[in-house]
Amino acid sequence: MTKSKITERKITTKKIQEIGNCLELVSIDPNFENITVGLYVKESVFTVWTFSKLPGVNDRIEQIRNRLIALGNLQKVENSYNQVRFSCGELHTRPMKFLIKHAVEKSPDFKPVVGGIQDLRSPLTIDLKTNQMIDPGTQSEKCTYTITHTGDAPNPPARVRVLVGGMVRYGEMEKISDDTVSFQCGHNHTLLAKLVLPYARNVSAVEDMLDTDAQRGQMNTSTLGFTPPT
Amino acid sequence: MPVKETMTSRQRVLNALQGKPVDRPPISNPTNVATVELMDLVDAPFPDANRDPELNARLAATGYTELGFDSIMPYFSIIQESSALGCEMQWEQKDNWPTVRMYNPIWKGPEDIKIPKNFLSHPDNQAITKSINTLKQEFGEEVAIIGKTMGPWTLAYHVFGVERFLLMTIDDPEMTFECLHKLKEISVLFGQAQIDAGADALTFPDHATGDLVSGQYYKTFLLEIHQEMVDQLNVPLILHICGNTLDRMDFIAQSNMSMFHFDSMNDPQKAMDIVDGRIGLVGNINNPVTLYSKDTDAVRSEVFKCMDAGVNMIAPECAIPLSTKIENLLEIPKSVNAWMDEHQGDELASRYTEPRGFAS
Repeated sequence: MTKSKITERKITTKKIQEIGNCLELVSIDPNFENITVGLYVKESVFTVWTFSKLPGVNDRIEQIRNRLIALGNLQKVENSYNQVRFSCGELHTRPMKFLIKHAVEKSPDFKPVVGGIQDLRSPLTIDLKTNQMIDPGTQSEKCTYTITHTGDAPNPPARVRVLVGGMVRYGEMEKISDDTVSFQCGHNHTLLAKLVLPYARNVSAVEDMLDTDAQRGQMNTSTLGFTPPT
Repeated sequence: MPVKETMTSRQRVLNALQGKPVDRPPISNPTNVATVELMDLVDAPFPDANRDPELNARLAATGYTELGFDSIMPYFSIIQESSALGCEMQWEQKDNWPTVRMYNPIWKGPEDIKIPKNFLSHPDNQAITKSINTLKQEFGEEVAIIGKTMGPWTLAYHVFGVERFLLMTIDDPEMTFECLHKLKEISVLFGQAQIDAGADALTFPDHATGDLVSGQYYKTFLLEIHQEMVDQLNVPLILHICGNTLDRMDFIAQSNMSMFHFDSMNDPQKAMDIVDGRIGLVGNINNPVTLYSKDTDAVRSEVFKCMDAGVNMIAPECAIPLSTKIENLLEIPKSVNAWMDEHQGDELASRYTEPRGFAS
């Protein structure tokens, strides 16, 4: 390293002032040179960003941005290659963390499953049905999602109640009834709700996955092998 | 009016390490502040940045040039010497720490401890010494360059395996002493090489951690060795031990080291009360929860808590998680300045700005 290589200082400070706080960091992009991709947010605008300057990196960032649109139905911010926002203006923080991981880590050819998915704790096939209702409080239209099921299981309503809990947890949704949820904004975000449904199937496994992710890259006596993992 | 800085980063760190007055407390992590985003910024990813001196220097420098810390730490992990000794390594990927495969140890007892002839010229040690040399040339007197040399306890985990070594301490304390005294020569050798390369100070991790061994263990097995290290390595030493260490902090304060890098499990005020000016304290900002997953308000709150207690250098408790958000790291220097502005001229700030520190 020579002085000429450090041509500018505080690049990160300037950039973060511009694009806001980091909502989620995907440490390794398996589809492009193992770069790190961050989802930053400022004033309801999400920016997909990497500090990498490798050739082709802007095309990859644009591709990820476009995946957010395709997988989460976000809206493109005009005249940008890396920015999106929700039509409702909300952030939907928790599901966005899952969405950016999908957009970065899944193959660019990945398409969301059409139709129902297999439940992991019962033989049921589960799906979401999108409805419109009038919110009794605000008298405005509200989009809701009812968990539907096919197949035989001992007590489907009990299982659906658990799935509703998972949707509330990972989608930051509100429970409308024992089988129906809604995003707090009331807007239609069907793709986002469908993205959350697989996580809602098995809360303990998702929590384990999130814990494992969080432990990676931490230096402590456990991760260094000095003590057994707790 | 913001407090005016009157010192270079290097002066600030060296003064703090010697218990002398500073214009503001230095921000200086004695372990590591590299993150995956900084790796991208300078195209120096793990694991290569641990093994290639140029990549190493480039990444290490970002702690100063990007984050605004007052020191540069080019030894990110704790495994360089062990790799050079021949331990089986798991180098991992960009987002994880390289580790020693301690389930497959290379030595069984003191008779096996032999320092390879090419120890200092091993590429994984040269990655650090050459990097320090480069950084020194590049930054000169501007910023403190801190090296790191593993203590004999940490080396013993790596070469004997954790379980076997801990059992040895119970079954055969004499053999344990013999091993530690032989291994400490490695600490001195690598530490001196870094001093020769230009290191201003050395971190001395020796993982007699709170969750593994008692405070009495520290006194029995390590205190004298640590005092001896201070005599042998002629730069300020910063001892690093993870975990709850309040039960051994009185002993640590007798080690004659310049500072102790302490974990967030220890209340900073209690820790300051125990050491009572006999050694400086650095660290304490929580990594896995605060820096990794919380926001800048939480970071500021912990920085303020440390400064209210008079902690001598402000830093995360250990090597930061590699996926730490940069905004949380940038908040540390901002918070230090905000605290100094808030406390200009008062009794709390004078603990930093007036001579009253611990003896060097």
